[in-house]
Amino acid sequence: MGNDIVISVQNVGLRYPSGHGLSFWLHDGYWALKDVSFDLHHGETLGIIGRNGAGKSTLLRLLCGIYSPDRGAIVSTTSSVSLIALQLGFNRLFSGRENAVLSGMLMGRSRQFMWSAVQEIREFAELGEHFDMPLYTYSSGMRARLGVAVAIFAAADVLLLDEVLGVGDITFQKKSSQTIRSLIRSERSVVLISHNLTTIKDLCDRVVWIENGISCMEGPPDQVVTAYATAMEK
Amino acid sequence: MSNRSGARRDDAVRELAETGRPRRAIVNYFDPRYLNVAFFLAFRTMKQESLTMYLGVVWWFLNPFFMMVVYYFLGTVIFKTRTSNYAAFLLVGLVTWRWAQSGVTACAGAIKSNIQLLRSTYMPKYVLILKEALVATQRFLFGFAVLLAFLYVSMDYSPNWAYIYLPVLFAFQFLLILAAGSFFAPLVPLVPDLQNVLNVVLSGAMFLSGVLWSRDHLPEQYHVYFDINPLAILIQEYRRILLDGQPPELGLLIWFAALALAVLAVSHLVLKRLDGILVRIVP
Repeated sequence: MGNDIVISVQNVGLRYPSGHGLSFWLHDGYWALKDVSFDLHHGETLGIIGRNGAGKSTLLRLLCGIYSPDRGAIVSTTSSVSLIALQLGFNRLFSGRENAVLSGMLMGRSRQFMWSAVQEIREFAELGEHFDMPLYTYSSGMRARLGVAVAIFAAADVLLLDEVLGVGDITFQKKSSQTIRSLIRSERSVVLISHNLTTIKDLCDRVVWIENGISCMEGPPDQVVTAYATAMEK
Repeated sequence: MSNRSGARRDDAVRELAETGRPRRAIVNYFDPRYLNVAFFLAFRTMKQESLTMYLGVVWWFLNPFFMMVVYYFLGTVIFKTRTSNYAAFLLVGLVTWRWAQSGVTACAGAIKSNIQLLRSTYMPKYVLILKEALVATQRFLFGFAVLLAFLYVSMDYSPNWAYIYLPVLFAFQFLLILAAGSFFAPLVPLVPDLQNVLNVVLSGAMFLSGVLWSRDHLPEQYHVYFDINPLAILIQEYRRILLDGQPPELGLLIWFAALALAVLAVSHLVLKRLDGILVRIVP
């Protein structure tokens, strides 16, 4: 594990509007994140834990640039970031193949490179003939598998995984956690959200605990997970 | 690597301390990859469209063809007392007008209609505005091909050498669509009613843009209203090429192109400023 910082999050706050349109500026809305700070290092796997609604998924969207912070700063040294979450899908009308190419292009790979990589992506994601069907015919597990496969073959520098490790059958679960382990050995950085504390302890180098939009604890997995589990039981 | 990221981080902390302004994770807003993505999205959208209809690509010709048949009837049978070439006059105006209308509408609604994609991954919002403009342009080009055939087959306007100026007018119009579309694109999520207002205004604007009449039909004192409408001028110049076989007069259009570039620049400042917020305020 290197010490180079890939993404640095400093006292970040983010709010959602209470209504639509201009209400974002007229009312204060809801602060989903209030004060979050941590660094993601090159080649490390960082776990994020917290209760439902603590702001974990919002944080991932901040990390990949979909949202901008309303307070604080996020500095990243890469634009090759891939967000993988169950309810997300790129273009519903495009086929898996087209979505794979699109997603890879957005991570900074060339179109030619992606068209040549699609066969491997298809095999890894175990999509078979579904690969050429539109994305709206996919189950959420299939979409997540596609996302993981694209991120691996397009070699995203940073992978943001939102509760996707439990996806698929046991074989695919095994394969994806093996892949995560190989990513840990490689140069990639991974941010992992999971409610499964065993997974977090198994895979992560460091863990950040977020409570009510505030990063309240950061450290080695054992310590943070134990503290979190104790707090949850109260 | 270590030094670079360390330096960037220090820069950001200093900037934050000095300006108090939040800073985000974007690396390069104008990365060339985004231009490629816009073309990829446009091209694949057209392909999807041709695959999901049973008649596929044929619709790209059939749609404008049916519209032209209706207006040809209107021009030759109902308004035959006006000018003898009224049908041709009307069709040129209509086809080019529809490109502007559909293009501006699609660009203005680009963020809302692509919100699913924008919530899944980061891309600058201009990518989708450009994509919508490209898709509208592709439809127009098919319609324009049908128009040329129509003019030749049923109205004896054979191709003339002034056609070489057509790409210049296309470029002007594309720029106008992009500028107007980029102007409205960040405003529509802020004030959703704007989409309806825009639809009403655009359908009304057809009657003000010389689709149904020309500058000469207007009394002298109203000519100024014609001359401040870039679309009316464009349509007039299309007619000059297609119907009169004359090269277009570009004088006024060049001023409007400069204005469009200015609008485009300002709109993109707004889009960039709201880049990480627009996704949150679309319902």
